[in-house]
Amino acid sequence: MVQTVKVLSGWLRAALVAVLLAAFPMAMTGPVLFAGPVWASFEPAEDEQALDQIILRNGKVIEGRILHESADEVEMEVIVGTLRASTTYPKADILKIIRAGNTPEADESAGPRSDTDNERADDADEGDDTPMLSASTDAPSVYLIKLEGKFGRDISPTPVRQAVEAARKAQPDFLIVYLNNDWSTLGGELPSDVQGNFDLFMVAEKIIPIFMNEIDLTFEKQPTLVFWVRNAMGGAAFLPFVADEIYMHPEGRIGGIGTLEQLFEGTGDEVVRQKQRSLRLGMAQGVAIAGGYDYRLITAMARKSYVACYDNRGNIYERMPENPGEIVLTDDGEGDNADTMQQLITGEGDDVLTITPEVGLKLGVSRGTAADLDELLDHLGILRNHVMLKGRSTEIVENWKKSVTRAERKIPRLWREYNEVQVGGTPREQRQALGRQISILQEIQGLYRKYGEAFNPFSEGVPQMNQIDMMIEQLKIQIMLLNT
Amino acid sequence: MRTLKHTILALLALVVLTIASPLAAARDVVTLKDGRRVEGDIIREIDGNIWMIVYIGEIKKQEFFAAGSIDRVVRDATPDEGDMDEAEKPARAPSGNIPKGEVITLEGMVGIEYSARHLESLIPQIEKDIGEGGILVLKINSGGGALLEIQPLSDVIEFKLKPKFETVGWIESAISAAAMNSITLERLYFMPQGNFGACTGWYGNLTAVKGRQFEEAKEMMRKIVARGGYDYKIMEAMQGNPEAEVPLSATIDPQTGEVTWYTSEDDGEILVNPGTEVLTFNAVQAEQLRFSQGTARTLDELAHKMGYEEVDWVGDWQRDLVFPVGPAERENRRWREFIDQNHQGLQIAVAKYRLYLSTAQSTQGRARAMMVGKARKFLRQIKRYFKESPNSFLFTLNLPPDQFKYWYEDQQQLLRDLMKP
Repeated sequence: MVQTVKVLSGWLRAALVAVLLAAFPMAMTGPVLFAGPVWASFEPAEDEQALDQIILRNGKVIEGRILHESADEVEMEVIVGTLRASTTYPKADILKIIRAGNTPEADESAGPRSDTDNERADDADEGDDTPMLSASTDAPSVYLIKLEGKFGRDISPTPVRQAVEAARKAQPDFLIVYLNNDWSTLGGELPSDVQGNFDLFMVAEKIIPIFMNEIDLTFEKQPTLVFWVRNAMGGAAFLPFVADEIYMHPEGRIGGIGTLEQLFEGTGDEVVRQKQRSLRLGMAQGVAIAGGYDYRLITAMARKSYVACYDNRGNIYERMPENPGEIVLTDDGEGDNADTMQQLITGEGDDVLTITPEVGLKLGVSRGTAADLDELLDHLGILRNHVMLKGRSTEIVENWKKSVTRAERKIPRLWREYNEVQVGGTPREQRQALGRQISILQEIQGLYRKYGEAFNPFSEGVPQMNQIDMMIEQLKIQIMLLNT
Repeated sequence: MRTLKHTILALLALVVLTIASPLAAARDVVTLKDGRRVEGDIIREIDGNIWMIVYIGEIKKQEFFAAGSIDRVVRDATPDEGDMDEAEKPARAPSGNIPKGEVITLEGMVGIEYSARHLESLIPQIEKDIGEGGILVLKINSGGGALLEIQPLSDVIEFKLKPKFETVGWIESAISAAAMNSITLERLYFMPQGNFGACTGWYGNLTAVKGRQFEEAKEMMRKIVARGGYDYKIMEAMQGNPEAEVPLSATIDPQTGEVTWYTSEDDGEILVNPGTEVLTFNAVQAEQLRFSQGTARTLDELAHKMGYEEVDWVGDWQRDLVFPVGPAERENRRWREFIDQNHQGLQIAVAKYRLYLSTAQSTQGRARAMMVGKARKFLRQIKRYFKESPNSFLFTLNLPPDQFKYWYEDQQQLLRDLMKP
């Protein structure tokens, strides 16, 4: 009975603390505040010295008493203040086990970091219900947004804005954007637009202000904006330059926006083509400048004719190497200097710049290379002490992809239905058929207004939006004429 | 005889001096807080604010300097200020009051949302908001538009805004026609992402403006660029030339910071624009080459770059804007939204008018009468939209606004003819 009362008392106190904190919104840093760290700070463990610790790969430290350990998992009685609960942790998630009174032991059984680990780390955003028991109350909070899929389709302004808005509500100290855009075409063949991706800047241009301006203006607490780049190719290449800090995956690439010289090739007069290229380049350079990066990187990424080299201090020179230690960044791409198709695909050529982790580090673009989220947090100096905030961002992006896919399928189907409507029979039947056609066209318009930023619904013979307006008007005229 | 000779010589010298340099006759010197030194004739002073005739080569222009931006003034014409020691004395210009400022955004298509007529219409409200001599920041974010609107915009800036306010440009993006009118401003500041240039005239499927029209555009820009005090070679590289390459290089004097421009790739120490390209400045290049007065991310930074410790920016701060919205800017935004809808409305009205007209032409009797009636309805709508935004007519029907009257009459006649038995 005494034990029951003590536990109840602990619950009550914990609940009271939570309620009091809720009365002071300034003290709240996110949804996890009601979890372990806050309670722990007000209700110390009975005997902290006597507790075992498990350090998870995602940086969380859990205290309690290890009850059982097998080859695959560890069962622990987690102790938070007066609260106790038995929890089992897979060893794959464990970085270290520190037994009470012992020095830290590296958990060999956990093995080297693997892709599986990385995925798990990535999934932190999905919400790990385990309380962050030992993170201090002022531990920096982290929010992860994953941007994956086709740039301009899956990664487009609406879901990005919604994901950032979700992050705003969580008020993180670190907003990490994991960027991994799909650069291949179906079947993994050469992207047809290797030579013309600069124009996707026009898509990037709509996303960039979300990171560049809206966070500044709408977040009550300014987070450190971190881009963690696995793949930023084509239009996505412009996005990382808005970040306070860029880190790259070991296989990371930023590029694929060359060659600007070929944009609009074959259309109109050369001087107007140059105008179009110049204004795009100027706008893109502005993104790099605003982010604190050297705008010449954009030029090197975009213009085949741009020649530059760099030295071991990361200084860029607009010429070919002349001194020992200088390395070609981009050559003129002419004759023997021209990249092969293979180099174009792999991003290893030097006609235009593709920033790899190594080059990124040398040029000061990348702060470090991280294979998984733990490594990234380690680079940020918060691996051991952080709070991973739960949010809806990943769900938002995933839902957008699904909705776009549905809309993409539905519009051609609606168009077929429109064409299959038989307009004939009595005037009443004709009016009904025409009305049905109007209704179908309006449904297409509705889908386009909602998802049109992400795809081209007109590719299968579906008329353009302004044509649909006129078609509806024509159908209305037909109804009017039937009435005369 | 000797006296006469001396008198003649003295008169001749006076005439030669007067012809040689207008500045030599009356050289007032205003030194601004941002370090600029301007010479000319002070023509008016109110509460420390100065209006001055400034000479740039053979071009004479009026400039206004707000009291708060002035560091000191030296008047050569005043006998007791001819003394150098006196010249070093601080001017009486700064009043010590915190100057008022307002941001007016110029966005959208030049000629539609970004229009001279509308900008001019805002002046009374701006004057109420910040008073004569207040700081007017034209924040520019536009991808360009109609060539025909450049001169009217430049005129409003030069003759209506600059004499009244301390007017500066804050460039987020000034492409093509937006750059070509805002270069009227002597003082341009860039946002870090700012860009300015790409002024090549074109139409249709990326076809360049050539021949007489191209030469006229060049001539217009020579004059507008002079208003802002820039070297035309810069604009020439931004305009490009369908017939020839227009390279640009520059040399910066390490002592004075003065920039000398060359229409070649090699004469200047810095290659600014290869001949095969059209020039667009980014914020770094613009500042390095003294094209801009500096780069400012925020309004505070801008005020600081302009030489002010503090500016009383009128208006209410909004969550999603980097500047407060004052009464004139509020009206500006409301109008822009309206005109944007108006422009879209005009396009729809024209399309529907044409649809009902063609249907009327292919029907008879009562049906035709009904279609003509509908067509008339849309024609009246077109007239209303045109009244609000005449330039929209150019973009919608590819006809200059002064042709609207005739086009409208032709359409009315066409509809009347359709109704004839």
